[in-house]
Amino acid sequence: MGIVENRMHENIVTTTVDSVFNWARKSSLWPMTFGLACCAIEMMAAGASRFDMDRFGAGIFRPSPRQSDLIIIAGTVTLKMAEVIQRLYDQMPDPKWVISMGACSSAGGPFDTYSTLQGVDKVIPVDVYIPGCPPRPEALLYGLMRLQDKIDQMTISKSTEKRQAS
Amino acid sequence: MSEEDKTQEPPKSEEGAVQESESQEDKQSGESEEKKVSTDSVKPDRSVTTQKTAGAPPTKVAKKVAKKKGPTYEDLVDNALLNGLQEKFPKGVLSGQSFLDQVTYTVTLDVLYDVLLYLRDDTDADYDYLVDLTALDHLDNEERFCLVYHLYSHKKKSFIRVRCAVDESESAPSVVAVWKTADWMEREVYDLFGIKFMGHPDLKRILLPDDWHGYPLRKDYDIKLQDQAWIGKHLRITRTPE
Repeated sequence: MGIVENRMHENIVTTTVDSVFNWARKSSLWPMTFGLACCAIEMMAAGASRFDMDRFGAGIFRPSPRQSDLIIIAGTVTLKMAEVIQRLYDQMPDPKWVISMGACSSAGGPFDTYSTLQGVDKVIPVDVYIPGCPPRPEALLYGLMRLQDKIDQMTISKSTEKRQAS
Repeated sequence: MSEEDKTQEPPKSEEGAVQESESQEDKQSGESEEKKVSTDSVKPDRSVTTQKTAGAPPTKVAKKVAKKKGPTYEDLVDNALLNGLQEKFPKGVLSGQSFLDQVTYTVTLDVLYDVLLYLRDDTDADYDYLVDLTALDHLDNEERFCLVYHLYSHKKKSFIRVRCAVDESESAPSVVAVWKTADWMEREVYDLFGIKFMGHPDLKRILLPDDWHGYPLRKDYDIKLQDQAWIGKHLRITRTPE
């Protein structure tokens, strides 16, 4: 989306810029203040003092999607809420990432019913799925670190193998 | 301690039996012998307990055979409230029953509103609080739905239940004017069962989206059935469902 992305083939400049960009992006993830069910309780626990998500640079929960680059779908996604999630996701500035936390948001969980979306990845692209019902804060932190690994693989070059900064 | 010793001494003759039974157990289950030996020699009182458990299974089987009769509905006799209701609504009150001390009055649709108003305002009844309003779907019954009102009297500290059969083509009277709390309860019943309440100030869906089709708690509604028209209109499904 920016001016530098997708212009050059991979070379010493892009890899250097990548390492700086990726380091900055993965070290200062700003998740959205957004929770749907019991998973959100674990997410709050992960953000609070005992587990302290801020140790990994992702503790600043922003109250607006326009200031967030990460949305943690923490809980059961009903069809009515799926519409809202789409709109929130659209409002987030690029580059942006999605963590699907728990069984419900990953695949509907136990709620195979008329009202529940069977996996949030049907409406928005998910980067990391965290299993559990609900996952422990440690699991969320591990998922977060896996996302940071993924961000570390991004590139601004034209390379098709690696994920481009969208 | 002395009492325990006394209890330990007499079973000496029984201990032999215990050991026999345990040896049988050992053959069957193959549990560690060391534990058994230690319990026999050091703590005889534990072996007594094992003897009890060894003797227990036959009695358990006997208990399973004898079935307890479950609680049943019984007609109310000399119930002041029922007598008052039947006096006031001779044709409208169909029955008054008791189940595990839970009292249920069944009334007809045409007097439902008046009965509920009477139950709230009558000084003997005084049911000032509507605890819950819900419905049942008896798909095969002549009158399909059954509205259920749970009332509570703060003064008498008592609960009652009022039931009323409603057919699919009929609409129930709204009791928002009687209890304000009925507003959202009636919207919920309308949302999930499709029963209409005449005189409701704002009868629209409360849980599902406004433009959803179908009433999910009806028995002929598939639990997994999602309104594909609504999904197509409102969601961008990027991954097609399997």
